[in-house]
Amino acid sequence: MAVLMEALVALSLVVSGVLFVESFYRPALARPARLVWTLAFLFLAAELGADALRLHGFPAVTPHLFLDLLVFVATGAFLLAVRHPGWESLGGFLVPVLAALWIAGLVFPGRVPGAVPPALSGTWLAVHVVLAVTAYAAFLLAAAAGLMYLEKERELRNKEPRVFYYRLPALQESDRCSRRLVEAGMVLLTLAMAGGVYWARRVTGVYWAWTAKETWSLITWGVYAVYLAGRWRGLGGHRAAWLSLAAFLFVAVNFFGVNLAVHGWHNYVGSR
Amino acid sequence: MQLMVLGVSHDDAPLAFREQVALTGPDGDRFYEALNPGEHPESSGLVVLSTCNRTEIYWTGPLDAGRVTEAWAHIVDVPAETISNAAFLYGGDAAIHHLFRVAAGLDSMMYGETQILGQVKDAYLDAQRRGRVGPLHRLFLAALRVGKRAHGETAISENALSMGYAGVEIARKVFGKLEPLTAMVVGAGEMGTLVGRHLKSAGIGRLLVLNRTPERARMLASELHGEARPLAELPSLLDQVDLVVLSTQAPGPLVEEAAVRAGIRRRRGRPWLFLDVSVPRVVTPGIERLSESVFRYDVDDLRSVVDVNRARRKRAAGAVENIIREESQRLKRDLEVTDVVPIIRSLREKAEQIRRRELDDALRRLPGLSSEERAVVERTTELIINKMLNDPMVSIRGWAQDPEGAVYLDTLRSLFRLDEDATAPISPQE
Repeated sequence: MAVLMEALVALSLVVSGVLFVESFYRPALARPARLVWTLAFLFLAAELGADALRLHGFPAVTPHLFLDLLVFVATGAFLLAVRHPGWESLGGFLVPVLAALWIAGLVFPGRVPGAVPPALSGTWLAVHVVLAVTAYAAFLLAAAAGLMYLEKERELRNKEPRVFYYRLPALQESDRCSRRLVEAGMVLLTLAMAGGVYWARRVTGVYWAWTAKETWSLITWGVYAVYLAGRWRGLGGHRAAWLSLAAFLFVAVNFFGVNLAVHGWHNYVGSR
Repeated sequence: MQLMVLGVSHDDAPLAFREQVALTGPDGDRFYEALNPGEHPESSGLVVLSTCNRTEIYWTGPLDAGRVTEAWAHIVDVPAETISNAAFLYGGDAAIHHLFRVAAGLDSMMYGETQILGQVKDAYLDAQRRGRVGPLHRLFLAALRVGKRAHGETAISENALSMGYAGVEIARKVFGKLEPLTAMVVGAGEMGTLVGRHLKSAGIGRLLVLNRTPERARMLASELHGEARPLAELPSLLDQVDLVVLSTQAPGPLVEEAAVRAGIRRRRGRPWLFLDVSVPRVVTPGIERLSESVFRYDVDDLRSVVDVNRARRKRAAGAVENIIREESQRLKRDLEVTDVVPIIRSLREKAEQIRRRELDDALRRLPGLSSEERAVVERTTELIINKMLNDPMVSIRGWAQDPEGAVYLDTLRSLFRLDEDATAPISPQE
């Protein structure tokens, strides 16, 4: 059953990714792409629900489940974004990345979690994880909007309209959108870290232990703080777009690098 | 029912001739009058589409091409041979295909333009007001549907085909909404005026007009609800505007690197777009390399954008042809299905009339029958009629899908003399 569900999620993600990319060239495909994407969202929701039932708790205690949640939240956010004219094209950038991310997540440990230690249960975990996941999703979407900016800018500067010239939102719109997403992500990340600090104190007795995960999260927070400081001082357009992409690398390292390479209790169940 | 179209269009007739044979205004009235259908208005349809690029006559019913040509020639006072030499004539599927292509803008000079769709609609409504659409009703509704779908579902009418409009389009691609922006038009000549008008109708927030002769600047500014400024203020205004349109015959550059470099700092990364449609150019090429937020398009750049746009529209033609094919099939299905319904009804009515008349007659001659006996007789006549008509009804319904169906229906009509009431009812409402 679980395997079937995973196959359905993978299939719908890949198919809608292909359809979204193809819809740059054939706009009529945007509708089926959105339809399959909605299916992927529902499959993911069903899978997360099944996990929650099996665990009798919040389904994000392994890296695999965390990725599920990330893709789920980003999917939901994108479904809201496509309501705005011109933003359907975000799918062509975002969905292939999410599909690859999710499929890569299948190799992660913890597809079937074992017993959950007390440190990884309770409301605080849910709050901490949901905030962190939503922040990551916002940073991912901001990076995608940054990439869209750069692609459209390239065609406008070369004066050679190809496909992005026609299909992507206006430069200033991508720019504004990317900035708002980083602002939102930053608020969420700050809350997630504050919540984490409070929770750590209750579980381990210390607020901050300088584990790899904590340190790297602080670095990520710092990078986005630099981005926002730049924005407030008039940074925009081309450079801001590059910075949003570079900053997302820190998020990716935080998740993939730190979780896989370094072990600690922060690294979920089953990754030891 | 055969649809015919006779017409003259920009493809093979020069403007002077098109003007001469146009059927607009009183000429149109006289033309409709000359081809008055007389006693059978419901079985003949006539629609005249006359624009500056084409005059086309669509009809169905008892008219023939000779009569139409003669009436047309007579009204516009041109020899009939001249018209028939210059005109095209299509019938049946080819005529449907032609009207659908026209409605979608595929037959227009400006490939994929949307204006013609409104003109087709006006022609249809005009004919309807005169009560002359007749059986062409469904055809024109289908044509309007084709046009609407072509513009909505394909890229046939997307993207600018003129340099002036392409400039506005580029501004939209950079800035998105134009409402919060300030634009400056330098040079109140033909091109400057054109771009200014496009910007105004695209909703530009604030528009400054600069010109060497202040009088012309004032005139254009008042037309576009903008502000006229002296040309000497150009350097000081430059970094306050997001979009600069330059269309002048100035001998030397008006916007140079140093000014742009200073402006970039003050604009703090906000995009800055220069549309230099002057020849020779008055914006120094290469200023766009000073910052990623500076965009510069000259006449050649705009022209190449328009070329790509045009190629894109042409590529969408395949998708439009698919829509045309779909709608042609749908139209044919509709026409055929409704064609058999009235004949079935009138055949049934005729049989019922005969049955009723003969039954009444017989019952009058048999006054001694009990009510049960009367009922049996009545029921028997009904059964005879129904059984007799059953097989023909099945066959007639089958003809709806048969390509030869129309011929069979005609035969049936004359065999049973159903002519008077067999015409499909045509609703004049849209």
